[in-house]
Order: sequence, then C-alpha cells, then structure tokens
Amino acid sequence: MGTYPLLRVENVKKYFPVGRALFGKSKQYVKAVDDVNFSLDVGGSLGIVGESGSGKTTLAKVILRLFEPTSGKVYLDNIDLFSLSNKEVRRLRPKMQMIFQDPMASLNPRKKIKHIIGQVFKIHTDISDVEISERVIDLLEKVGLTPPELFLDRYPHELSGGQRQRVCIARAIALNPKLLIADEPVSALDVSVRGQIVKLLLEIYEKYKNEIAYIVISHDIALIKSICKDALVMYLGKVVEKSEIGKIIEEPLHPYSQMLISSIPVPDPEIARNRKRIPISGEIPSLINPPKGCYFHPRCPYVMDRCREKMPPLIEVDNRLVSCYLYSE
Amino acid sequence: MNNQGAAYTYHLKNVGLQLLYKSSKVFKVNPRFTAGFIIVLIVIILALVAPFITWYPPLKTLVGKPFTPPVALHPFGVDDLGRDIYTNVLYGIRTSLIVGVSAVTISLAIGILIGVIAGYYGGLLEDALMRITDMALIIPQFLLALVIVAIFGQNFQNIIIAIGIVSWPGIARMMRAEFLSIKERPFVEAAKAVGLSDVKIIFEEILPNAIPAIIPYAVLQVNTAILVEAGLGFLGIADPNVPSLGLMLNTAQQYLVRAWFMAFFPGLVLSIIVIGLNLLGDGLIEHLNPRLRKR
Repeated sequence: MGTYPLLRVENVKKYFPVGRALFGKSKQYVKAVDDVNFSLDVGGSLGIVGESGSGKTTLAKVILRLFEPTSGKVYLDNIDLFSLSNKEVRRLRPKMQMIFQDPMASLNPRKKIKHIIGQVFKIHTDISDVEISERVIDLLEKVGLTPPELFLDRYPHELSGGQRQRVCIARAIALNPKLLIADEPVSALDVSVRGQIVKLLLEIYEKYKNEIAYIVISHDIALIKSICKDALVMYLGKVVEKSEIGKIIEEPLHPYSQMLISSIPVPDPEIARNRKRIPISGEIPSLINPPKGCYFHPRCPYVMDRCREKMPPLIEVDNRLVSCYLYSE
Repeated sequence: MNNQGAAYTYHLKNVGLQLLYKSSKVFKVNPRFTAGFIIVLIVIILALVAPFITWYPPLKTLVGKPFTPPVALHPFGVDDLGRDIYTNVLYGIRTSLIVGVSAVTISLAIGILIGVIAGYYGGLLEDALMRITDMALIIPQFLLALVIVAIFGQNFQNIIIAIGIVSWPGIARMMRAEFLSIKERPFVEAAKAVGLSDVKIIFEEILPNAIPAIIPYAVLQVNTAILVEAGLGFLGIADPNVPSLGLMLNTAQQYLVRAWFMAFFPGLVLSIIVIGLNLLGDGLIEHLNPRLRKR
C-alpha cells in the first residue's frame, strides 16, 4: 500500500464575527484561521505549534467540522468534508476523532465509563449489548485501565486525571479512526502522568501506523517532538513554517519559530549560557485588527521595510516551507 | 479473575455505604432540608391514607349537627352544611397535592420544551421564544389563571391546566440558561465529535446535567401552585365536587365569629404544607449550591 494524502487541507479559513449589529452583518472579524494549507499522509504525524490564540484548536475543530468553516476545502480520504450534510458528516465521524484538552470536562459527569465508551458503538454499529461491553473491556485494556471490570461502572469523577485521559483515548480509538487529532493531550495532566499518556499515544500510533494519521496540537515543542515527525508553526491563524520537527528545533527559519525554540528551557546550564537566545518580546497582537503586512513584524527582531507592507508568502527553502522575506531573494 | 471479581463487589459495597453515609450527612448538616422532608413526607402519607383514617365520606352533608365544635367524633368540628371538617381537610390535602404536582408537571413539560429549544438552537428561534416567555412572565399568574378558569369553566381539570400554563415561563428561562452554559462544555463537543445526533445530545448529554438545577425550583413551584389553587378556592373559584382547602376557607369567612374551627384547621394544614415545601425547596437549593452551605 503506497502512501497517499489521507487529509488535504486547502485554503481553510475560519472568521468569527465580532459583536452583533442590529441590522445587517457585523463588519469586524476575528481571523482565527486564515488560509491554511497542508496535507497529511497515512502514517504521518503532524504537530501544530503556536502560542495560545494562534488558532491551533480552531483549525482542528474546523477540520473535524465541529466549527463550520468560512471557506476552503478539507478532503479526508478524497471526500470533501465541507460539502457534506450534517447527517453525512455524522456518519463519517468514526473516521476522524479528537482527544480533547481537559479530560474531566470532556466526559459527561453523569455517565458511567461503560456508557461513555459504549455509546460510540451504539451510534455507529449494530452489534449487541453483550458485544459492546466486550469491546469496551477490550478497549479499556488497550489503554491500560486494568482490570477493566473495575472501571466499567465508575463515573468520571471517580478516576484520576491520567485515567480520565485514557478513557478519552479509548473513546477516540474505539472505531479505528483514520485521523486522530489530539488537542493538548497532556497539558491538563500532572507532570508525573504526562509521560505515560505520551507513551500510550505512541503505542497506539505504532500499532495502527498503516492506517492512521496523527495531528497533535500543543504549545509544547518537546511534546510534539516526542510524538510527531513534522510540525506546523502557526501565528495568528497563519502557517509561518512547516518542516520536519527535528529541523525546526535545530535550525528554525522563521523568527517566530526561533523565538519559540529559544523559549524552551535547557537543563544544562553550560549549553543554556552559550546558546543564542531570542527573547520573546511583545504580546500576540489583536486578532481583530492584525498589523498590516507580516503579522509578526511588530515583534520581529529582523523587521525590514517590506515586512510592514505585505504579508510574505509561504516559500520553499530546502524542502521546508517558511513565510518570511529573510529567505526570499 | 476471581480476585478481581471480589475487588469489584467490594467496590460496589463501598459505593453503597458511601451513598448511605452521604445521605445521612445531608440530614445532619441541613436541618431545614430535614424538617421540610419530614413535614412533606407526613403530608404525603396523610393524603395517601385519608380513606383509612376518616370515617365519613368526603363532602357528605349532614353527618353531624352544623357548627358543632371539635368533639371526639368530629375532631375538627362540623361545618355549616353538616360536613365533617376533619374528613374534608384530609381529602383537601389530597387535592392540594394533586393540583400542585400535576400543574407543575404541565409547566415543566412546556417550560423544558421551550427552554431546551431556545437554549440549544439559539438564533432567531431563541429570540422569538424568549420574547414570548417574557410576555407570559409579565401577566400576573393569579389573574391569568382566574381568567382561564372563568372562560373554560370551574372544573378540577381546568383549574390544574390553568395553573400549569401560567407557571411555565420561569422554568423555560432556567432551562434555557442551563442549556446555554452546558452546551458550551467540552463533553458536549466531544459527544458531537463522536457523532451523536442533536436529539441524543439534548436528551442524553445536556438534559441530565440540567435537570438537577431545576429540581428545587420545581418543588417551590408545587408550593406556588398549591397556593394559587387555594387562592382561587378562597375566591370561590373551585370545583364544588372536590374537597378543597381554599374553598373551605372561603365558606369559613362568613362564620368566622361563630365557628372559628371552620377556618382554623384548613388554614393550619395549608400553612403546614406550604412551610414544609418551602423548607424542602430551600434546603435543596442550599444543598445543591455549596456556596450557600454553612460550614
């Protein structure tokens, strides 16, 4: 089986109107996701990095059609997701699943674990109740909740944070999705269980490598590095850099990526003292009135005149994509 | 495996014990709730066993000499038409409870339906529904109920329906508010991501989380409904074929000087019911809202 683009994201935009006019439409928009393009192969794993407010989560939700897109196209397995009716999307949901940021909030507090996971089978398959509970037990074992019998009748609040995230993962992989998006999968967890959850995500990835594609959203580049091969750096709803994660960490091209990388603490003081640091200056500008030209220019240490005029296009530099005039002739 | 099974039964037992412990704590910590609960429980039992602890048929005239003060055979006395007040008060409790519960059921049905649609779907539909609710809220409940009964006739069902359809706006507004906040919670989005239909999201995910918020309110609504029924009865608007505490008070006012017991006992019982339900409702609100709980 050759690889083919499982997911194609083309010119996706999501604008949220701001305020509500009494008559007519409001004129101002928050451009949460602005013209994003990428594709992802089966077996691929893509990390999306960026500060809070850069549109990472919105992008994921638009891809899954949890938000209606403003424009653009998303193809999953060559099916145009945005042209489907709500009903058709619902039928396609098992193929694309999401793991949410806060496992406590994303589990219904009034449902038992067996119902939370069993529900997925109830909607999308015709298997009997007995078979459902067998599958649920199977899944619980797969995500490391053993003995599964002990967890079936518990409510989410009776579990620990790590266990809850395991339940969320079990629900997401219940029907063998092709696309699995993990939105900040460990940021709500204790540091002590983060490693375990990352390990579990990697195990699942290894197991289904030939049929699944991962997208991991995080502000933590180290996490992305431990799970993903490629990374997409987003700033104010735009992709500013895309390449292999290793290359981004070793030699970030875009000044924003450089800033992000240099903000990672290094445990070795020797190295930390000697490395080139670009301090993060300024704050993320308003999304309603983004600066003219390159969105990053007010914070950029290498700002040039033309940065203030026009948004630089994404160009290819040694097999990597970057949106910066520093690299164009 | 056996070991796990044992662990599992142990766990179940633990849960049961915890529940028992928790409920015993509620009673200890929250005296208002306890008092209300006991009063309401007694009232309900009295209503249920009314036929067994009375010895006259309800509303039967001339079972005793009119205006007999309380004696052993007529513990609450006898009214102007020779009816046993004790019997009628006990059957009156029944009427009050039936009116309260059925009227609130009707208003819950209307209120939840409108609140759910407005809160979940939003947009123009929400605006329209909420303006209708506001309009319904403006009209004084008691007067509207009066008008409805006056138009459609003074029978028992009409009174229940009238009280039911004047008291839904509060429930609709609460329901909408709950839905507005719960539908934004991540587990609803997660349910959507899994592929649940709107109907399932409403009934399986959001509603079970919204209902607890309106339970205390519904208890207090039962109270209001009982008072409205008694008020209507006091104005003489009641089904004469059904024993009603309000109607008894209406008759009693003409003979207040001559026969105090005609007003005293129905009034006392009505007050006890209302106090009990109020305590229960307040206690529930306090219990469900930890910020109001005293430490």
